[in-house]
Amino acid sequence: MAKKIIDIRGVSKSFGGKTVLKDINLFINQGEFLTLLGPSGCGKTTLLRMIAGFLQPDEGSILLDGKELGDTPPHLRPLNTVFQRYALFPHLDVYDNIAFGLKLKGVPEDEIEKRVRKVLKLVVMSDYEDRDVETLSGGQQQRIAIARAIVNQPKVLLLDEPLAALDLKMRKDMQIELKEMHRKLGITFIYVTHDQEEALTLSDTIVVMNEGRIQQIGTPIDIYNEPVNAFVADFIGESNILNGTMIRDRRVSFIGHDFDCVDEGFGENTPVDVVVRPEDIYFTTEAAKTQFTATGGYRYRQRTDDPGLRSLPRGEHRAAVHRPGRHPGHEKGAHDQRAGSHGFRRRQHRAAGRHLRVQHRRLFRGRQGARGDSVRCR
Amino acid sequence: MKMTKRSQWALPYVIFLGLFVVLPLFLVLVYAFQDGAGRFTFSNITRFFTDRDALSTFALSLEVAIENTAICILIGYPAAWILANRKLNRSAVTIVLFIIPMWVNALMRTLATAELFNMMGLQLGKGTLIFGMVYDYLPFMIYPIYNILERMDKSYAEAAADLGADSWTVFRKVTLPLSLPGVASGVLMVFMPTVSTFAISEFLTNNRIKLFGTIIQENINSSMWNYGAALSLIMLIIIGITSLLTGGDKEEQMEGGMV
Repeated sequence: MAKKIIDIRGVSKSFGGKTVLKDINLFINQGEFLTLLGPSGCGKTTLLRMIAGFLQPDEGSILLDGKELGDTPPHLRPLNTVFQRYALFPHLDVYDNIAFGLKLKGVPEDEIEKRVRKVLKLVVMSDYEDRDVETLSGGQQQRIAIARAIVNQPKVLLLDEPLAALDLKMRKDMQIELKEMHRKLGITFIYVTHDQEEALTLSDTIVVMNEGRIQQIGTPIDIYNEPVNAFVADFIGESNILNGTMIRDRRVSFIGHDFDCVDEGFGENTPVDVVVRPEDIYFTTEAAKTQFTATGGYRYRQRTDDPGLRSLPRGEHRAAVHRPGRHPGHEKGAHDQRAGSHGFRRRQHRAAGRHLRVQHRRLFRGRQGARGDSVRCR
Repeated sequence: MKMTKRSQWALPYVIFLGLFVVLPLFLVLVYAFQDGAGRFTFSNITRFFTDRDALSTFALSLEVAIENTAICILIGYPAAWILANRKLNRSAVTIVLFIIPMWVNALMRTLATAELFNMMGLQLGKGTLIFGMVYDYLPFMIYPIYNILERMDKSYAEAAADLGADSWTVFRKVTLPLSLPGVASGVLMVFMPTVSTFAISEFLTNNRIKLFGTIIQENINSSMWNYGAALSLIMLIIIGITSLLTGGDKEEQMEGGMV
């Protein structure tokens, strides 16, 4: 059983009458890589700053190792932050930047030197000790910022969009390195980003936020395959969200056709949002495999991964949206994530708030390998 | 062709600078090394270094300027810090209030201050002189420091706190060192004019205390152009040295610039 290191209970915050966080409940396990993901203004950075101690919640409490943090100031919290624009001290060189925290704690000089060298090696920046931080590139400053934080051996490392200022290539490289560092150090990482791809790549757990509320908590696979509402479906990955009607259990109607699906419990003739991932659409000429036939001249409006779509010759074509268990390459009932995923995912219209939890439960009901333990909305 | 045309746009400025900056400076230099009859001589310079009165006035001027600058830093830094701190100062009005005295002519402010002292029946002397100088020059210290503190990325202080520094340590190890260019700017803007001022000492001490600026003014007023020019040259050199000492980093000087 994983140990909770941070427990956020009923936290709310507003600035000048505007609510930025509303009743946030979340816990973070020891050693986990957890990402707070959402568009700008969703409250993710506010939440991170509260954990760091730069902001105080209006309501609720944050516990570290079971002890309430209350109004403990940032400098007394055993946490360290990597800031968005690194915030390296421009008047100090690389060594003094990294040694800053250790010197304040009164660590003996030779010990400081040993530890600084060790982290510099970890972030692949040995031999840069005497460099002026302003002469370093963005990526190098980033590494030093991480080194400056982890040299203090924090219980939790907070990262506020640390890769946002880097170019794409560097970002990809740093993603891999961050993941590697997380594995080596075993420190809990709380990572804030608006980049869904980054979140999917790095995280053990993703917390999707929007407008001050948690929309969904789960593993990247959960979040991608089982978005709880239209917002999450739209925000994570590419998807086609279509208006449809749940005719009855395991049968949904949209774009004028009826389709089989595996979801149930929505009731009969209930309006739903139907999410179709591009990779779930297959084109075939074998009539037996199809759920939906179309002939040339039909204008497909779905987004798709399939480059063949754009160059479809005129004539008769059949589009298949794969049936549960008939996903190519997977045998029915195989213990594989993809085998359990559906061609369709549908959610109640504007599913939010009070529906969230209930819907979430439904999603996992009866699923093989249901990860109910990763459902953390309370 | 185009390039030469562009460079010609600078011509008016070149003429202006030549007429009003280079030529006067050149004249100061020429007069400083001439005697009354126009012959080349070092006597003006040597006269200063052998003139006990002039030297002691010079020393006093430096002393007053240093004291004034120090007091301006001691009062101005905390004032700038409070003004730049959003938690303590929520309105821009307070900042304007600090700046407004600069809109009023310094001579008028000084006369008014002198009048005030007279009304209060205070003895005019070094105390009133320093008061007047601090009053006159304080905004020039506050503003560049305020500017740099206000623009300083708050994440530096946050990063320091995050790494375990309490608020005093944050100030001592991060905020203060990072704001030094603003202090340097302020020092330049306060120290330089106080070395050369004469009006303040004239009004606020009834000419009881003479400053370096005063003897330059006296010499020029009594048509002793050559000695006056030599004294001016010496003062220019002192000011030049000060700016070299405090203004090493040009770029950061700009940041602390004036209104």
